[in-house]
Amino acid sequence: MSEVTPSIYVVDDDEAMRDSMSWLLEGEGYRVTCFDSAESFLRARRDEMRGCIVLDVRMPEMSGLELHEKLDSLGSQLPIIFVTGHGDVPMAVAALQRGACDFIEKPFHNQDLLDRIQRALELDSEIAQRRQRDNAISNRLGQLTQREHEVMQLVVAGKLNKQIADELEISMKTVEAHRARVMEKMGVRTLAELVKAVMTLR
Amino acid sequence: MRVQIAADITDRKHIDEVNQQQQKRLEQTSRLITMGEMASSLAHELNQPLSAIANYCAGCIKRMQAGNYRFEDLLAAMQKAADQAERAGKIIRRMRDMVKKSDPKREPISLAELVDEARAFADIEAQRTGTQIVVELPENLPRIVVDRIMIEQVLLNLVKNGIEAMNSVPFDRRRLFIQARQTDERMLEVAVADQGHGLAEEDVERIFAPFYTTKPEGMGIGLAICRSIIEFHQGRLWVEPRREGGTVFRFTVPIEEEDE
Repeated sequence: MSEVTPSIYVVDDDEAMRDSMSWLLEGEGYRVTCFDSAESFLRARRDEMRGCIVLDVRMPEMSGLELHEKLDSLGSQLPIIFVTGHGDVPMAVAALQRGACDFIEKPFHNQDLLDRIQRALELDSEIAQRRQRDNAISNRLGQLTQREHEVMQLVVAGKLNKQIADELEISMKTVEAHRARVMEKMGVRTLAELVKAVMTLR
Repeated sequence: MRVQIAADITDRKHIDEVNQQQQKRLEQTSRLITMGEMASSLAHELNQPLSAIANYCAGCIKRMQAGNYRFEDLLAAMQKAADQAERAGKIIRRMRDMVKKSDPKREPISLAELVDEARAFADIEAQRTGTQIVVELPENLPRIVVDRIMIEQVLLNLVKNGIEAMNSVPFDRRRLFIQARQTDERMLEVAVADQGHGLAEEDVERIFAPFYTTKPEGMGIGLAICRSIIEFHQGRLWVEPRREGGTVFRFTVPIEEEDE
């Protein structure tokens, strides 16, 4: 799996805001990519993008809120920090309710923005890790045979080997063999680990 | 023999007067609206260069603290910050030019007349919200010496705030009082009292500060402007809680000097 370097995507129609934001964030050691409109960000967007978006609410053409909606419909999980002017606060609250990551009101304190970016990046890496883990688990699940899958469901449901044998009308020995195969294929050593893996996917 | 020809022109004269008054009101309304819009767009426009300046400076500070920078980079950033400061200056200058066109003009005027005019603007809002505006002015008040449009603006602002403050009380409580009294030989005190939700104690102090607001979509401009208008007239503007619930705003304005 190719690692994509996290970047901060600044979407703002004001040239000075974009330029000064890059200067500030690059000074903190972040990678920054700027876009002068929601449309140009959408054109460049890729599923594997990592990092966060710093998004101006007020832009001509497509507004920040509309971009948020569009990204949602595309299944993007990049955290968004909305940058609002005075009086846009109700707008920002609406965005938060729709699941935006955070918002900050202009004029803002630099440290405030940097803290929010830090939080957004942490959230992004959590999301990425979860996605990776989920993918790994579903890959492993895909390798189970039909029978192994049945046994696993019953094991996870807390049934004893004896009960499973009765239910599936197979011998205890066969159950034990299936069970061992399940543990091996799923890459877990204990029952607790197996339950946890299956639960995270649900 | 004498032939008399006469036509009753009272009606026509009256219509002309009404037309003229309406025209005047229109002009005043547009000016009131422009003040509000101007303040709002000023804040929005200034935000851009100010935020950019802050970003450039913070970026410079960070690099200098880390001791990791190229002189030319810092120089370029500082130049851009200076450009943004100039941009902010231009915005302010443009706003000032707009305001300069309206030098205040003080003239003697009766408070009743002024209240009537301000009420004409507020009535739409009052009707929409079912608020009753009760004007209680004593007879024989001396005339005041003020810029009529400015003081109308203050009155209108206070009346609108009062109406807004009552938008969650029952309809029969939605009454707003405009009262006045002479406090001494120099000043007249005007009170605008509502029976609304009242003010939190900490807000009594802060409510006149620019950009402080208790309204979800407020700019925090109205009362700050009102206070500077009243102070420009050597008066005072303050707020008190009402014993019966609600809030009362009071301001003083100078009265006409009598030549004796």
